Amino acid sequence: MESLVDLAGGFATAISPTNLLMCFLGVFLGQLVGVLPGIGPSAAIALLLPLTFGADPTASLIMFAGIYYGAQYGGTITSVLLSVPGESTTVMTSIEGYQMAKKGQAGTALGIAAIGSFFAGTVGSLGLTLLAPPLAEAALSFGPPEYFSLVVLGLMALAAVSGASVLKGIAAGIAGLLLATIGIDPQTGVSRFDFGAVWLLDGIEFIVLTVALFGIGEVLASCSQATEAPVAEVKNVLPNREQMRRSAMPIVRGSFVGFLIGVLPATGATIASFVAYIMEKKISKTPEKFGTGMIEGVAGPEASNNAAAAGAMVPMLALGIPGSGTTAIILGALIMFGLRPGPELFTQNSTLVWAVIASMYIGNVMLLIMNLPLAGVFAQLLKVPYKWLYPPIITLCIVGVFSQANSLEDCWLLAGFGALGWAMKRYDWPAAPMILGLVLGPIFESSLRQSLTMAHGSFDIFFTRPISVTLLVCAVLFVSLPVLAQIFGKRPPASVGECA
Amino acid sequence: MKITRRYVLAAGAAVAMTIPAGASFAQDWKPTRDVELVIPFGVGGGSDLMARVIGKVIVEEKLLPVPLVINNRPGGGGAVGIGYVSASRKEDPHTIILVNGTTQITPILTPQAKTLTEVQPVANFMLDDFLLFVKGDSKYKTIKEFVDDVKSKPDKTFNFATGGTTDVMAITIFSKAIGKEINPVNFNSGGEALTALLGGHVDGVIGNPLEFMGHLESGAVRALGVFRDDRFAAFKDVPTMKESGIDAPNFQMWRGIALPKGVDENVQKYWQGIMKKVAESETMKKYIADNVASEAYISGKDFETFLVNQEKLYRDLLGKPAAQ
Amino acid sequence: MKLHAIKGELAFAAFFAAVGLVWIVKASSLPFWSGFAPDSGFLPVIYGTLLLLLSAGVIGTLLLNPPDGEVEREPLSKSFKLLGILVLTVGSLGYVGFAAPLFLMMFAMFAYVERLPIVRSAIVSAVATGIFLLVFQHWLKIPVPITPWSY
Repeated sequence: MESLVDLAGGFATAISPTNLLMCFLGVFLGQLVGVLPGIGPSAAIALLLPLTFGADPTASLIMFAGIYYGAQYGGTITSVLLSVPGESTTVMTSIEGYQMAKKGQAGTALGIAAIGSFFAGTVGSLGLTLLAPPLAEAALSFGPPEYFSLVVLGLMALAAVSGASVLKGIAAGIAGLLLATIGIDPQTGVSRFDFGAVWLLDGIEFIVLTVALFGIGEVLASCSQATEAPVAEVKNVLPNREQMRRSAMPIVRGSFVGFLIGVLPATGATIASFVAYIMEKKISKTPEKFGTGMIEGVAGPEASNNAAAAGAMVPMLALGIPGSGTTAIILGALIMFGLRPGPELFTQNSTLVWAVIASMYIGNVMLLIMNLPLAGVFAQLLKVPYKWLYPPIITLCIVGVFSQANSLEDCWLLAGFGALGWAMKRYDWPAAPMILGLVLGPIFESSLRQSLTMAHGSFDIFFTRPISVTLLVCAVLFVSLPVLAQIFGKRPPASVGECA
Repeated sequence: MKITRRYVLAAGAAVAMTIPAGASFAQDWKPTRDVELVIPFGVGGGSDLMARVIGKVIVEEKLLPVPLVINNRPGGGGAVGIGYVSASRKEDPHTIILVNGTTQITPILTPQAKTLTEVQPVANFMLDDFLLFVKGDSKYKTIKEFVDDVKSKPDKTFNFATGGTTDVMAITIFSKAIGKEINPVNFNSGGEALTALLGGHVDGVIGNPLEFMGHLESGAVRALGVFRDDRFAAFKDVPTMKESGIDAPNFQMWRGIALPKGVDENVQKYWQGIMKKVAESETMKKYIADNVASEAYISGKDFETFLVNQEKLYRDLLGKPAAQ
Repeated sequence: MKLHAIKGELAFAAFFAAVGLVWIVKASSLPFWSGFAPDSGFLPVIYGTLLLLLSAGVIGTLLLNPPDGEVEREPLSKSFKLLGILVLTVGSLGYVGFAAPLFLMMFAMFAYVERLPIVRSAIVSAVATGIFLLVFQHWLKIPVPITPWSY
């Protein structure tokens, strides 16, 4: 195949000592910023951009790509060990992964995350190699109505897997949507719900809410047990056969779903990890055990966010359209190097593009080699008694959240939402739906408005376009199937109640 | 409260600075401690990049005798950064801030945001142009064919994607000029607007050329006209609106640098000199060319006049004429 | 008696209901519809109403089916102490920079809340403060104001 020949050429460029070094530097930096909440890959790349003005574009882009997918590995570490998601894409990992860590399986959680990430990163790179141009074309058929229906599907799926209390789960999701309306309405420029504060005009930053609910909330909720003995023993990093068997399919599913979601512009790795988690919970035979440290709930989302990072490179490289904040900055870098993003990039700068793609295979191998032994080292951290651990965790949250926008007000939000997260834990309100609501809210509102504006106010647009109507039908099935199953008695009512 | 404390510190420093400067020679003022470059936007955006290019030129060519510290204060379309400078950096000659069209438009739409009258404009660097694009396989080859078709249909038949408030303003200009309304479908960025155009979800786009360049070359999109009085060097074949008989004014977006309000005349002169050197540097020229924008170094009183005219234009277009 | 056991839970649900109410009130002064599409107030009113109804539903469920017996809860006092220290710390950041409050916060949590040995608490707090500021301020070039003079 032609693209495989091109890829071979790319490898030839990518294994030059300079490029290998830049690739290593990239994944290493990515890993580092991934660990720190607040600082994400996009900030890291933007800070490095001016340094690379005169440098070789290929080497610089290899490094930037490395930062991007390296961060997806790094974010996992704090999610599992401290319940502080280092990246927004690892929120779901902090649910199951942290519970696994509490059971003494931190090493395994990190190990399976690294293995899943490696598999997904490689599958994603392969997809990028073989399918970039045709997939990018297909992604264009997703207009506003399709995005609207996709979000409806996401919200319905959320309602269907809200755990023990459906009512509280949906309420938390709605509260997230409601928080998403704070700030300047991007469609009209009018400010809403800012309570007269200029610093609220940009709304509540996603990473602030995430770190507050999961990080601070967790500390406040669990500090009372802090005097107890530390987690006894950090077990093996390598998962045993049983754990491998349980994780295999979630990793495969997560990779494919994550890649496809990543390809769609305007979605990205965060949503991909949510979808993978919801999917695993839905498919699982024991959905009621989710939330107690299920390895599937780590493997699926971790694979998904890495595949999505590779997927987001597809529209960026093939069409010049960024699928996420980070790829938008990489796109800016391309422009700075005098390259024109767009369909011509693959033909006119093919050496560069293929070298970057080839470096992604290499970088993923580096990350796997780095992470398996590191997982063990990091997991040792849990041998420190919790009472010595949590004050530095709070400090990390404060400094991380501040650095996100150099804003003291964000630190106040951290304290406020941290208290909220504690109360939510105490009274069994799930936090994840609230975060998903905050992520999906803006897409939901803008795609609804865009669709209706395009259709001159007619709601038919959602039902006459094939992709949109398919997604809506799926959404209806998602909520109605469990109910129908119950009515027709195919399942014992109790178990339906648990998973609905 | 913290603002008051900072204000006192900053004002005290500024007083200490301005008294000798005002008393002695004009060229004598020089920065004596770290200079802070405030970027009222998040890292990675177009304006952030330009500010970082300015910073790079200043550091590399050693234009300042002191270190330069970059401080991003993102939020509210520039309102947070401008508010920060106007509240805690008043009269401080060691602070410079990036300003652009967005920071001027935000307070028009959001009354609680601080306006550009809170800062002292120094110099403008570049202007972004606006072009009207249709899809490459569109039946319209010229702007005239397109306008004729628009005029023959009812108002708002045609959907145009926009990537932000400035694009909507360009559509308003175009609608007013041809006397028929175009229906704007608002997206969050030029990239998203481009996606909608390429996917065939809208009939056209008015936007900045940056995102569209690659697709223009491949023929995936076609530019029908440009909103300026003379032809744009980067697109010699694209006619201006006026040439095509459409009475649309010159419409461009600006990006420049300002100081806190109330700094001394000498300080302004000093910074204008620095910014002129930045504008003449190869790095800056290359940055502007790579971004398919136009160099436009305007400084001092000319820049202030320019901003007053821009403000009036924006207010007219947004339907919010100045109070009084 | 049963009401006593669930009063915290009721209050928390009522808090969400109140937030919903605030959104309804504030959104009702915004335009609902403009041209072909919903305007700024449309979805917020819907979200507010849904949140109000769902929270009311949670309250209703609690009152109709109160949990049997006393629910085991963690004691509150330590969490409140930590929250108080956190609020004090954040409050002082704007006045005295980051270094002192972060050190004092960790020190207070170690030595006061957890009753750990004072010397070790001080050492760990100082080292942790140093590491965080080194990473964020020095390596990542985040302009973290370390001292009162950094503003």
